[in-house]
Amino acid sequence: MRFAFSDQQEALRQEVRAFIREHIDEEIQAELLDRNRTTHWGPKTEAVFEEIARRGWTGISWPVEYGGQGGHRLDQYIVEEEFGRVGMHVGGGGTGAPAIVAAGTEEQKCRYVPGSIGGSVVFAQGYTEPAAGADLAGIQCKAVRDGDEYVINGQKMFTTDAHVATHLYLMARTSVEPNRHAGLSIFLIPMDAPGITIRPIWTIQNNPAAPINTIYGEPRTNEVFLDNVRVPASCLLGEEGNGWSIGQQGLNLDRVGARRYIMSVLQNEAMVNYLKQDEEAADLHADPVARDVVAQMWTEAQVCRLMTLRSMSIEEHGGQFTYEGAAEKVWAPEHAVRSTEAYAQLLGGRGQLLNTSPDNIEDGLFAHNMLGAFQSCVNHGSVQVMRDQVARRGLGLPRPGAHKKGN
Amino acid sequence: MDTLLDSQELEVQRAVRELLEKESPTTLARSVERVPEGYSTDLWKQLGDLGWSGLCLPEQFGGAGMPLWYGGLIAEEVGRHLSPVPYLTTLVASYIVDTFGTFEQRQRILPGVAQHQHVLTYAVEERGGLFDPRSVTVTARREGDGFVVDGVKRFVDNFGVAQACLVACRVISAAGRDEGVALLLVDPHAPGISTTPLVTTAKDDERHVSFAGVRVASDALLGELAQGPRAAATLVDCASALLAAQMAGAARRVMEVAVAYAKIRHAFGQPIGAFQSIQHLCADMLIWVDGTELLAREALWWIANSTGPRTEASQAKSFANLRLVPTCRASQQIHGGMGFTAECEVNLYYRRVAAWAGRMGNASQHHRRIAADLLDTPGEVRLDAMPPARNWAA
Repeated sequence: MRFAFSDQQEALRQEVRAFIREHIDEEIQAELLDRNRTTHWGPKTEAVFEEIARRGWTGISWPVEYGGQGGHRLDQYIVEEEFGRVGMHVGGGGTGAPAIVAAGTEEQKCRYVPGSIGGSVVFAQGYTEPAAGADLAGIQCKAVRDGDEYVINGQKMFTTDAHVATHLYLMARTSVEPNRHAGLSIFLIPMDAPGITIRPIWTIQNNPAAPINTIYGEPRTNEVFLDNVRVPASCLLGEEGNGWSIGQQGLNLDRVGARRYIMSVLQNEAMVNYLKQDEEAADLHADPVARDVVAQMWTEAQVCRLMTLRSMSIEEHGGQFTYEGAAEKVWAPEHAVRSTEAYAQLLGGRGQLLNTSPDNIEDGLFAHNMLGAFQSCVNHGSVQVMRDQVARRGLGLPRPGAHKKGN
Repeated sequence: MDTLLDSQELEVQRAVRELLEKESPTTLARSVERVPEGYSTDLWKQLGDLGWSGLCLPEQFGGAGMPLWYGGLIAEEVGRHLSPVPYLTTLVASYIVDTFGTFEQRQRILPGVAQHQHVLTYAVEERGGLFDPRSVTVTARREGDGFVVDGVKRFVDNFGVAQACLVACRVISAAGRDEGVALLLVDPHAPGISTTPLVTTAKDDERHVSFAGVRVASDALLGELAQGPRAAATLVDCASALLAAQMAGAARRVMEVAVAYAKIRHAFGQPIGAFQSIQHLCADMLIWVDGTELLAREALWWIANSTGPRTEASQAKSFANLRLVPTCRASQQIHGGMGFTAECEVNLYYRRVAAWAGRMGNASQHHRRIAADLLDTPGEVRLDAMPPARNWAA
């Protein structure tokens, strides 16, 4: 065990922080918050991102042949964490890229993965449907083979970033099979393919918009309609009917790591710093009850940090998670919710004032966190589904009903 | 940065676990509750003979020179097996003697631990708590060539069987001037000492200790007087973190027992472990145990790599207190009515973890200390860069 970063890693962190101080200004932050954006980055952010890529800070632990740096997972974690602290998702390949590396053809890997690391390719994940969330076996969106093409019809729900993505990473049903997870396939589809319609779904964080660094401050997600969308058969990722197992690749990317850690704990640092710095918080700063709550939530946040570093350590050693990723995805989101509710009780009337309100605290950060935090308990595998995984994979407990007579 | 154990750490963990699985069944823990010395001298001798007691002591004094966190791995195993040995207090006191003592003091005390199964302990807590030099009212008055110690210490473990006890005292000059807090090496059998044995939920050896005109030599003062507060603060942190590690070891075992039981106990046509209500409870137990283990390992790693106290110790102990008692209770709950019987193994764990949760600081005391380190220091905080610990700074 070793609970400090190496000198080289600390130097990287300082270099990244210096870069952020110099380049991530208010204009960039305004672009990141712009709800009318139609591309992944705004123009100024795009320019900064090119500079980030030029420094070799993208895809650090990804294979060199697909646009990465072939470096250490922990170095990438450091970059992800520092940019995550200013609301920028920088670091590895995004949604879809891990599965493409694992299951794609050479042509698919070369076509999509470097772009996914470099920012020119952005996949929106198209798993969820109105009637299929955690239980992907319920997917009804259909892809029917027609010569050299597939014809796709269906509806996807809560498709985050579909409005700024270049591609859809789609799971669809290619056949109906008795085995629940058979008959699903994954397709890589250009977002501008004819027949795709994207409609906004406005979130609880819209109007007024959340300030930067809010937990799930995104004002919009999307629903995506696919109406006789024709794509070449080369859009299929891996084997037809093998989509469920391919789709498991990279799910952990969204469940563990710097981004979810940071979103779960930034409020804990923000609360301490607010109590230390704001004159109006002087009474609270001296209140033994408030200090007890602050210390308890801080300690819980340290567990978020250590569980994330455990996941990073496992990846650095080339290991696989058994339950550790799922455990992190239970603890961190629920801690975030507990913190928002505990802080709300300390902050009282001002704590519930949103962005733009007179007399709010830190642009309504704590109030918006209260609105957004629970979302992390839901997306990319709810905390209930994650607990199932911890119990079954981590502790070997049996599936419900497996022993019942007649089953 | 690497939170996982390396091959050498895994080897120590495996070897100690193998030994204790064989030599330290819970029946041993149960039987020792009824003997006056409060620990198994046989098992303690075995641990000493195999070099585990001296693992973290310098080689020049007969130890193996391994860093403190290896002691944490042993504490986890001692907790896992509820091994009735005075390992924790001995490790804490010997580490503090090694870190803050003079060469002569180290030479006098440490070989006894490494080679002759000596037991050490410490006496810090008083009515005013643990984290503030103002809480120390036991005095060590300079007189002639030594000190005279007076006052009462509370909740002292293994005092009756220890060869030496580190006592946090307020040093008073012959002229009556307060010279500050220091640790003194005191012989528990010295004239003027009386003890009040306590009946704890752990049913182990814990006492209040009274000092009435106890004479100790001048070389009893550990190290430099000016280092006294730092030594006392480090002692508290070292003991807190090791106790958290020991609690994590015990709680992991009690979780495993519950999971094993849930797989074989059937109700409503299936193992109760197939019900999600039980599964989710077990998942939470695993998360709480893992969380404590990570916090305790981090705290011990930082104590070993620092020159003084570390707030991480309070993070570990407060979390252990708040989460591991419920872990043991959840195991009782899963065991149903059996969980309330004296013969159920789970209860040994519950009683001990509950007792340990009340020692070396309860959650609110540790929270108060964490809050002070976060809120009463200048500058912005970050989770991965703890401000310097300030306890006992006054």
